[in-house]
Amino acid sequence: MKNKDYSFSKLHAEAFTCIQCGYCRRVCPVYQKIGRESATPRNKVYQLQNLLSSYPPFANIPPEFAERFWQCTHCRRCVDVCPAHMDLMNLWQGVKHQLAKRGAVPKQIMATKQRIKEHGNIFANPNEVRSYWALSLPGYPEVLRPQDPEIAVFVGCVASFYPLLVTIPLAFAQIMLKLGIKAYFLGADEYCCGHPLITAGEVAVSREVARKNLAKIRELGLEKLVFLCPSCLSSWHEDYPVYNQGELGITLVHYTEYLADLVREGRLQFAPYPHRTTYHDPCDLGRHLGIYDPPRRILQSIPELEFVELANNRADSLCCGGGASLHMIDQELALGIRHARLEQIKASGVETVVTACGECRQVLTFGLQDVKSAIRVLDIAELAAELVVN
Amino acid sequence: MSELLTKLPAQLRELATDSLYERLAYSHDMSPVEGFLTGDWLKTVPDLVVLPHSREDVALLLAWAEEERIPVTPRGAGSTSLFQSVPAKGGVVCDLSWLNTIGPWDLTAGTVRVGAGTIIYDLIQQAEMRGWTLATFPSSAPGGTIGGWFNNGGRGYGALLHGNLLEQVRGLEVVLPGGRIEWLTRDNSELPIEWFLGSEGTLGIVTQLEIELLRRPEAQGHIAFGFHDIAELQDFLTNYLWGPFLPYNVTFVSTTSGGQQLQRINWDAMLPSNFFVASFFGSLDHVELGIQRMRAFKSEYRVRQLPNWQAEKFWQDRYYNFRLQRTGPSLLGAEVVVPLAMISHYTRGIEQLATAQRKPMITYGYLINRKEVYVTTMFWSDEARTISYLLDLSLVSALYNIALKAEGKPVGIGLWNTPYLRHIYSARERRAMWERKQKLDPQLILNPGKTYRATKLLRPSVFSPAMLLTRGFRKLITRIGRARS
Repeated sequence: MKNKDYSFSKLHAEAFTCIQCGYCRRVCPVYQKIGRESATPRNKVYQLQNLLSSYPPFANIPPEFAERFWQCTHCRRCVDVCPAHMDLMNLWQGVKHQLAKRGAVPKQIMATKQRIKEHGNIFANPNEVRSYWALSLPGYPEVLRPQDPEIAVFVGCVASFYPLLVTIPLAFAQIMLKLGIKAYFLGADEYCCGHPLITAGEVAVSREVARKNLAKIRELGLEKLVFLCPSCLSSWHEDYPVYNQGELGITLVHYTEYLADLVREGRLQFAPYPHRTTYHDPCDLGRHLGIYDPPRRILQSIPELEFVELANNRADSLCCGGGASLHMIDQELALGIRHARLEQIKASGVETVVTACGECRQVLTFGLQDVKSAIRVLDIAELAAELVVN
Repeated sequence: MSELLTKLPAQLRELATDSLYERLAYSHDMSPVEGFLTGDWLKTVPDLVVLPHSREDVALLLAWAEEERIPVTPRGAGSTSLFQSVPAKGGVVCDLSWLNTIGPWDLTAGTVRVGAGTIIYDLIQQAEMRGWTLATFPSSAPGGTIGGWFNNGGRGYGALLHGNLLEQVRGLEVVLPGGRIEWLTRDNSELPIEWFLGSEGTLGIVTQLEIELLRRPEAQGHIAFGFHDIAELQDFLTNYLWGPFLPYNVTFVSTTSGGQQLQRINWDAMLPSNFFVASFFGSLDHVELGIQRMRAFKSEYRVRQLPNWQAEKFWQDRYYNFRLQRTGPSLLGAEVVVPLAMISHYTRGIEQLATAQRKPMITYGYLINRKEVYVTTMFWSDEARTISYLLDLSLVSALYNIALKAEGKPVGIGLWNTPYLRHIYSARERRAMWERKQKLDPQLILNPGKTYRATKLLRPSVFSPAMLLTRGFRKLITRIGRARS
């Protein structure tokens, strides 16, 4: 299934590839939490087969069908274990697309769609204030728009607006300033990447914001785009070429890849951090984009940092529960999924857990606060800014 | 709330559901069976689903079910394809997924107690973290449960060297109809563990197993050979296996008529039509000597050794036989046990069938002992095209007939293999099975309508002629199609 073709015939072809082996049961965080066979990816596909076999397809959608489809973090673990190599991400999006067309969509998703449409971001804030995280930077706002920039930076809605997370772009900007790298922050020229709508199968609005973002980058003549949010990068990497009907002609990298290159070149060096530290692989960065090593290379370059892996790491990493807006749709379920990851972090005996995704950073911070843990939660950019010695 | 749910003991009610949506999830297994084939004569949708959290929950359920005469169908992952865990007569499905505790471990003796609902792959991972592993495991380990695997015969990779799962089971916790909980050991003569192996959940519900583990091997090595003719492969293995250095596992593949389809899943085009991969596990010396001996053995045959990476890749993909599904849309097939000495006879029969019916097929399997191979033959169909799919279904019985002619027999009974009961078990064995059933489950509460006798439509006197006719019709249609083209 390619080109966001969510037609019945495409859904049918993919759905009937499922052999019902149940490999997905072992890894699906939603099934692990809910504990009912109806919540397994394979059962979703089975019920989908039934809906597609009826005439007309999707005529009578059981309420439980829609409920189960929206209970998904898009963690992609089912894709990785599927022996039939089903394109499950696209299938989930396709089903949600069909559900949305028939009004079977959670009101929270509808509200997000509306906010993005009207304001260009998921928080319904004026888009002009996207760079307010940088108010404390000397030379603001000019410092964010240097002449002849080396890179452009796409911050993403969550880290642009969410108070807990504005330290992430701030930290990255501080590193760039310290290293004398000219980084152009898009700020008000940036629109929501469309990721929350893409995972919800909302093609029209996500295509619209994708076009706006692409047009802006082309207008500015920027060739290298560094992303602070893996979900945004995932959209640009996987979905924008579909909307663009071809390659974008822009180099897209996650900031951990960019910083890891600076470390390799010797341009970025750190002060010692004598603490036992682990790394939580975000689903969008790891399983979706295959970026596992750069964050580890950065951490391992920090003197005296004792790096330990979590029991589930890299492609086998556990979801934090924050994906695909699940916390808005079913908070209890999202918290349940979070619990499993928190237990692993606590069991690892670390003093610090770092990640490379604003959503994960937020989920883990609140989670560890809730259980009164003293473990420090940071984004890699924050830790890097704290330790940079250049 | 349904009437049945209100009757359920209060302690079980919160573990149960009568939601139709939930119940539908238990009305099928891996086999793509059209609804109308099961519609009137079976009740595959259970009336209730119960997810016990303890053996006491299971005991309470079985005590109640016996009193109320409600059928109970135990279910692991539902990853079989003969309806072993799909109800034939409604009632309650007992989903054992949450009996999935692993431990306690006895790392001195190398044993572990494990809940029946544990996914086999999870157990392997946990054991390997502790320096142990499972002696044998099925190709479906990432999906199947240990209890389900035991109930379906416990055959798997490594059985060639270590025997099937039964050899590793030190103890078995089983809840009998009526609710009695028994812990069975190997020296139990009144209720032998063997009775429950392959009993498909018809004698009791297995809730826990004590498994003897294998020290995680120091080394492993894989070697693969390609053959022009399957008879040579058979000859090679037959002669090799009677010497020292028995491999841990030997898997073979014969793709002759299905090779083209395999290109669609990036099947390595350099692989020959007939090949086997032998895997040696153990000390470095053992692995090296085993591979050396096999390499030396090849000089007596017209055989080509495949590159090491191909052999290793094949072993790495050991859990992913289902990738064949990608070549679909649907796959149909048969699982049989065939004597190694008859494997060329079997595959030739398959080739003849494939040619006559113009239906590409692929056969693969692994040795379960020195004399027998667990073989799967698959072919492609499309369940969305109902008529041609129904005609294709008749080929499954043809596969079984070929296996029977090659002195083999179908694996598992469930519902769909009941027409082959007399071929799978001798009259004496069937009598013994039935006596056990009557002794342990006189009310026929557990998994009724399967395993022991065929229902009217599946009786050989009805089923065999119907399949023969359908096959003949299919062949005719195929010929007409060929003539037209």
